Amino acid sequence: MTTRRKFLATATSLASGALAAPAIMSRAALGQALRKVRIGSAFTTTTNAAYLMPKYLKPEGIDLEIVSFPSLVQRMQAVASGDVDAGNGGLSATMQIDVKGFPMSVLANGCDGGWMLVASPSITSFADLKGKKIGVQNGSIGLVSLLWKLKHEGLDGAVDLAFMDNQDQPIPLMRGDLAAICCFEPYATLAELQGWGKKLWVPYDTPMGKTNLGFVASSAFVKKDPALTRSLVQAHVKATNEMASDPAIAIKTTIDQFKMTPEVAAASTKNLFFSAESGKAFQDGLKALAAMMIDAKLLDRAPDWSRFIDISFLA
Amino acid sequence: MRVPAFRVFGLLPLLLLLAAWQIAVVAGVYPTVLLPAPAAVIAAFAQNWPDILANAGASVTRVIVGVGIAFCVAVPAGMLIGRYRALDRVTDWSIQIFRSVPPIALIPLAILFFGIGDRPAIILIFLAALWPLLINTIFGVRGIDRTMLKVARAARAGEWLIFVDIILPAAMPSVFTGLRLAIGGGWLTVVTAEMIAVKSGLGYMILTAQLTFQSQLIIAGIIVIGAIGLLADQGTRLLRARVCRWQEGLIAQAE
Amino acid sequence: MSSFLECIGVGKIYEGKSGAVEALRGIDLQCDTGEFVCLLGLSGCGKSTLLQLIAGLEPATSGTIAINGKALDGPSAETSIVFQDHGLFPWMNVARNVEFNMKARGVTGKERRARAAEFLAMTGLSAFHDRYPHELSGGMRQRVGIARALTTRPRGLLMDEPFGALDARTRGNLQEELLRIWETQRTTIVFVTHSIDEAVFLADRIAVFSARPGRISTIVNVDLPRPRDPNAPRFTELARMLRAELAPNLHGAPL
Repeated sequence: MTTRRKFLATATSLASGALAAPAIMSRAALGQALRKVRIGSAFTTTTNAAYLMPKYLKPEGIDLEIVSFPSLVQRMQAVASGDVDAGNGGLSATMQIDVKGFPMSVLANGCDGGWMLVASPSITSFADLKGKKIGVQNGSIGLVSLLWKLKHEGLDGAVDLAFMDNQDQPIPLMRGDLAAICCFEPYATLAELQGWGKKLWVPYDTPMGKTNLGFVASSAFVKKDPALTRSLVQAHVKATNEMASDPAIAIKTTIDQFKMTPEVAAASTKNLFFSAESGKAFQDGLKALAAMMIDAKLLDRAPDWSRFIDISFLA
Repeated sequence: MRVPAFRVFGLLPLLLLLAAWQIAVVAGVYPTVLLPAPAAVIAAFAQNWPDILANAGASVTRVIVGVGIAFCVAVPAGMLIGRYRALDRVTDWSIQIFRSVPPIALIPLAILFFGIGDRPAIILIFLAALWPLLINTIFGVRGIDRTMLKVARAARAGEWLIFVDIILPAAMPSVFTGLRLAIGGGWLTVVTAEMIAVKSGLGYMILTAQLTFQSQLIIAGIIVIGAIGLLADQGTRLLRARVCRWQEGLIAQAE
Repeated sequence: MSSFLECIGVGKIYEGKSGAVEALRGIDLQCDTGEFVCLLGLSGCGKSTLLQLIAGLEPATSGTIAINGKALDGPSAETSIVFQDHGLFPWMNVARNVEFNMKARGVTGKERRARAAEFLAMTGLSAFHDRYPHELSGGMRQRVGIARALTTRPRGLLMDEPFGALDARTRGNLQEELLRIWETQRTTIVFVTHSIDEAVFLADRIAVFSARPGRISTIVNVDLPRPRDPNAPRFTELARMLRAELAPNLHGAPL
């Protein structure tokens, strides 16, 4: 998700993050107080478990810094440049750079779901969308699910896709420039609660299901420091479980970070499924996602699953 | 106007850059997913040239329209503001305020007022082009030799004649300076402007390539953008030399 | 002989940043039709200011100016002005420049071209009608300015140090040409200069200015027969007298 305006606001953090020295500082000498570690994240509702991680790592002597990027795509670009090796990652983007020759490892699930199709009140079924415009973020998981759904509704090529950032989609829906938006939270719920549209499709009935966000790292990083990888993954799992158990945390973060009203925050959080559950369901979802992306020409080929998925650190 | 031989030296920095790039790739300094080899970029050109050409055409069209509208608004407005002090006093602060706002910050407003697709994109390009044209036109009008205006006044020339026969031609060199800057600014904005639900254009192509990690296309797009920028600039220079031929006598080798 | 130009008690005050400046005070001047009058003085004595008022380019703060009995309200249709820095339009060729004052009057194209050709011939510029100002020498540019001023067949020709920027030889040529034109056209000429010799050579009467504030200290009749010989004793005598008249200005208040 490209959050372009936030780019301006976080330009300084980007500069310090992307241009600075390697993320993992040289190992602290034995006995020294805290070891500084940086992980990457992105400005989305699905990644907020990251902010709960530091407290789980402090007892292990790790001082965790979270570098937040305006979008998951930019987050992955930073991985490829070697700046922030581990952290939250959009699974679609992770697969893309892995397949392009930069080996990545998916270490755990992070958050499922988080998007939906909100349509103008006059639209009551998918058939009504024929010949109309749908807003969607280019290259996103939302797009992948939407393309699959359109094909299965017999609307392949019969709908005009308007590519725009998530935060820009509600207004055109209100104006009538768009008949529907395939939008990520909290903007999807915002549009709905403002009365600009109604939920038309909960997009999790595609083969990829709710697959969205994971905890990932470059394979090189994992190989170099498995101990640290384990610490990070374990902390991620704890943080994710904490998020899942207490919606209030996510609601509060959505209010603080996205400046949403409590009502919108609460409703949108219901569409987020924080989970570190990385078993068969998750892995099947990943494989289905790859297949759907290849079909949509967003991915050259599937990753080497045996190497790509590495859930050994969950144990 | 031939390109003087020494101008070809302008290629030197580019060749050095190309050499550095190739060396970096061979040495494996950066992951190829982000920095592809020059050969990969050439291959991307070979594979995608119809698309690249079509996208270039789309972007160029948007800039021509945006800059064209800006020209039609800025030049008359600039001539009026430059000529009538009262108008200048009223508009000066507004101009200074609005010209400082970068188009990227205006995207949400553009969507709200103008919808999505080509219209807000062209509006943003229009805005980027408007200010340099307006400000340079005003400047050109202000700088007109007082004696010429006195001649006109003493001859009891009407306002319309003064605008058409004196102010417009006298301000033309400055207008062209403004046009050069406007085309540059408009071209710079095209990538930003194409973030608003357009389906064609070099900006769109680059943004999509970013999202799918096709860095060779990103670089191909950047190269095309740069090349067109250079061509546009040279073209404007030629046009100015033709229209303002009379300036030759006044300025020794105008830039 | 009727009075073509009548200035009664004319004064001009400029509001400057450091207070008001009195450029002219109590100017009384009459010019008969067909007369050649010089306004003579050193820099800063207000002679050019008076010419600007007569040309209608600025309003007098006190007193009246009348042309052919009619009080002045802006530039008069009966006068044309020639400036020292010619004020030619660089983007027009000589013919178009000469046609401008007529165009301002609404004279039709065919008539304009015919009359322009006439005055170009009179000033010896026919061969240069399609040249541009930057291709001409200083003297020729002044000729163009004079031709342009004459095309509207003005009853009064106002000239503001027109030959001041030229070399002695060109100046001499142009002075003689001007006299030739004057003798055929018999326009009233009001000619501003700081050169005593020029004034004695050209004028029927000389209004001598003194500064601070600008006023006419004396009006001298030049009773020399034409054509005038600068070496004649009466010529030198008059020149000497005028020099003495202007001298207090030199040694008086700092200029």
